[in-house]
Amino acid sequence: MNKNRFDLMLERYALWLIRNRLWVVVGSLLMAVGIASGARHLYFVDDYRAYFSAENPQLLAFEELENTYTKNDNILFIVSHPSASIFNAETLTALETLTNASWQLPYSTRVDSIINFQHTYAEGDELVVEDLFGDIESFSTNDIKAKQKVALAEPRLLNRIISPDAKVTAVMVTFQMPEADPAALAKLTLKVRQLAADIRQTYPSLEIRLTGELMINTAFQEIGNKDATHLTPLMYLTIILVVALLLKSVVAVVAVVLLVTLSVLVALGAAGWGGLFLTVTSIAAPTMIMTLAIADAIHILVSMFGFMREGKTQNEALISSFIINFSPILITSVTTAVGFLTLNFVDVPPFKDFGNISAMGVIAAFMLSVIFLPAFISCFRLQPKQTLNIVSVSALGWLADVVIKNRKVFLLSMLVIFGLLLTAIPRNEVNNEIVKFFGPEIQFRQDSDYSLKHLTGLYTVEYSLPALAANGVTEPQYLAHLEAFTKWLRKRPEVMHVSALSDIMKRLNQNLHGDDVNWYRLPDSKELASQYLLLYELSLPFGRDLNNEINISKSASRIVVTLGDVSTNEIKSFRDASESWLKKNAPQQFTYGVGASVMFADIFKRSTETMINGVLVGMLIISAILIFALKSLKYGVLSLLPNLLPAGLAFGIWALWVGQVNMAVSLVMTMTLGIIVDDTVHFMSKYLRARRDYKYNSAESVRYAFTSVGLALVVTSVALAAGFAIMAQSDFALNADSSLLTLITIVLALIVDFLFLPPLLMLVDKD
Amino acid sequence: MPIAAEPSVEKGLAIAVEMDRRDAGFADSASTMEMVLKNRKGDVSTRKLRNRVLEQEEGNKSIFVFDDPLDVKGAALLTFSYKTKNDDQWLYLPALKRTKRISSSNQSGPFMGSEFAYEDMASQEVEKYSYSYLQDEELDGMPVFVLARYPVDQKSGYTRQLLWVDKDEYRPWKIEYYDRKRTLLKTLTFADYQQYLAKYWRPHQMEMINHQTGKSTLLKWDDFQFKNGYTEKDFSLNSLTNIR
Repeated sequence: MNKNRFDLMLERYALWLIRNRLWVVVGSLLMAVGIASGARHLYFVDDYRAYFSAENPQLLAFEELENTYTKNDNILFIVSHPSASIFNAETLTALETLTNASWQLPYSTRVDSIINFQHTYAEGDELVVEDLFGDIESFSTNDIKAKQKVALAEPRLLNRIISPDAKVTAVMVTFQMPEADPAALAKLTLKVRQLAADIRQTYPSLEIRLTGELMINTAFQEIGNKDATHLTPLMYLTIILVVALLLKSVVAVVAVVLLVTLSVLVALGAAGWGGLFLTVTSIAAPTMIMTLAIADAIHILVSMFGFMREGKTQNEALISSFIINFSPILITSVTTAVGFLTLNFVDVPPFKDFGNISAMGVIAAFMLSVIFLPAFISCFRLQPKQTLNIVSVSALGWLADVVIKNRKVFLLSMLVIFGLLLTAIPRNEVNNEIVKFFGPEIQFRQDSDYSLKHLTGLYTVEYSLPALAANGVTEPQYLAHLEAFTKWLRKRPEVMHVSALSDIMKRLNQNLHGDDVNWYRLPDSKELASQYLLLYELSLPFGRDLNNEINISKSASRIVVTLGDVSTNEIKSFRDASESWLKKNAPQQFTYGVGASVMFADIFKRSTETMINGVLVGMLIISAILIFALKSLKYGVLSLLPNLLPAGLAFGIWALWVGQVNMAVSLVMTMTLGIIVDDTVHFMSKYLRARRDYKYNSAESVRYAFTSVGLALVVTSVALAAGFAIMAQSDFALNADSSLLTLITIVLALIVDFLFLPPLLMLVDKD
Repeated sequence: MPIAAEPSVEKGLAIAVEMDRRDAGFADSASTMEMVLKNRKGDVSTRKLRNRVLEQEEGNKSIFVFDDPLDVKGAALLTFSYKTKNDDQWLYLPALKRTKRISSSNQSGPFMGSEFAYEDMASQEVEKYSYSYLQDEELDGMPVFVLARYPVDQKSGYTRQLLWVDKDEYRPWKIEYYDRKRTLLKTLTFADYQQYLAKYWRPHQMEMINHQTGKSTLLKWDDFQFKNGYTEKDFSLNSLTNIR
């Protein structure tokens, strides 16, 4: 082995490590624990709004609307009887109990149900405004029948609070969550579930399900916990298995487990010191780090045991392994970190955090592999065991021969397959439906699906329709526009329910004309409408007011549209259609539709657009690193093909297999770029060493690359694939889908590097 | 610094009765009121009203006349308060030229979209609450009683109110309102008390802050006139149609 100056430096450093091993182990442990202690500053954020940057215009519009009226964070108790209408004394009593108890829930500000719906009617010179089912005990069967008719004819209730078949109803509770208390939601959820359980116990024939915007956040929180507690042990088990099978050494297993744990803790600690918070997305960073951290250690340990089998002493073997592995580990760690850091280009904060935490973990894993690991290993006496090495080297030699012999067939057939797969990419349909972020075994998903099928949807689009001036919401022209818009909305196939001020005005007009149905129309003067409203507002009880529908200066009113079973694209087209309707028919009332579903419908476009920049920058940086590492412009540029192709192919396979992409899936390209580059770096650097140092021809060089590094590539790919296979078990689709796609990409990267890159190299390097 | 004391129902009631006694005998009054509404965003909106009160043994009578916004100008709200039963309320609608009786005993909803419910502004009859004296305190250097009162009406939006009443003049300076889930919903602070007829104190500013929604409403009272010689005829259904 001819040692250059850099190798000598590495050798001196490795010797120093071994000599001061105890100090180094203790010192690096203390350092790691010191950084890791920052993790105590971390806290978990379950609000779906965390997915939107503070300057996201749609989030700003949404928050403006909420600050103008009231926040609509709600939870819906979906109450149903498996075989009967809910309009019977027992079920109504249960609903009354539930409605009253809901006022007692922490942070509740409003409760809406058929029980306390403000039913208005005329009685002589009196406008009666009262709870629809005010005093159930005094109701006869006929009374209930009459009230049932009222409920099912009421546009404010139908398809939102009561189903047309009268079998399913909702008690909708609105909350004002305190912003400074991260534990508030968990506290509330506990109380809500307790209440649901109590009602179930008292009325065993009733089914109660829970959905609503706050339940989304609860589901986020619980899935984050579940992933962290369920997937982490699995990950450890896999790491132990891989290392144990590969090295058959207890010390090696302990060393790798320590290294992985410290890498994760250091990354989380740094995140804590940096003031980051965790989300259900960034909480996947530890498993990601665990997956990536073992590769460095495996390279060092596999080579060390190899040298020992060749007859070197343990310390000689360790130093030799350190010298030959240092540069590739450094390069691959840097490229992997760069890949993660490019997520900073994406306008979705949790993805940025995920990228940054993962990048820190990768760097920590590198530092620990070149400081802590050699020192720790040299504290023990190890025996090299016979492992799968011998078999696999000959197998890889055979594979090399096959590829070299049939290189034209491989090159052509690969090109055809690639072409076909790449053309399939556009078949991917974008879908960012919040409910579908959660796997089918999650209770929230089941309950929300049930609610959608039998009662009402979870997605709302809200409009704050401006009038021309203060107190303008009672202008006949404004109300007419409001009514026309509402009518148009109700005709749309996506729409389940619309709540608008115009319905209240029509109803009041009828009530104040002796309940004559011919008066069920808008009042024809502003004064009349304003005074109806004044009378009505004076009649409403606590927590049932119109402040969530009309702003304080009465210059705008809020329309809430509940959508049915719609895909992301349908939400977008609905919103575009509604906005163009307003532009055309009520230009002075023009406004944008806002809401969580709308934001998620657009976030994909935003994240994809910003991601493209990330990919470009990442590619540039990584290519520059490769050109420098391979010491060749030609090969550096050529390496782009095997580096970019796998992700493209994976998207093609995804299109044919799954067909739906969400915002996380769109980021796989940036994430995997840094990971799969490793294979190319290892393979090409060995190929080039053979060409340059040993003067082999291209076929011999390919064979050399296969036999010298093929095994390590297979092992690290299998380890990575196993890691991502575990992450794909998440019940959170954003994490599961992106992990699955990454897994496909990693397998494809190995196939490309083994079957496509060698023929390509031999084509370019005509001997 | 709170001075420890035993909560006492008798003392609580005694303070309430004394508050009522000190305000008794003014016969009638008129005043103007401006409401300034603010939402979480900082948007502001105002309303203007006039108020007349007639003191009655069984419960005061009052009229609110709406002046602004213009589209409700001339509307008038007549209230007969009672000590032990639900108040009666009528609203005259000039656009409809009719007086409508307001059915419900709902006085807990927002008044004209503000943070005040009618029951927060209405005449505070002693019998509408049960009381408990809690302790003595100092509020901005002023010695005060702190008492709790509990609405008798089951339909009230409140479970409990805490009052800070100064010991010298028995005037409320601060009221905290607790909602059905017993959490703090609103705080009302009184300011700029002025004395009329050398006896009766009237606050010229009342600010209500809703802690749960971040909204607030400021009431500015002014132009207090006493001894106007009102009679019950001035507080009848017929009087509403041509009120000036």
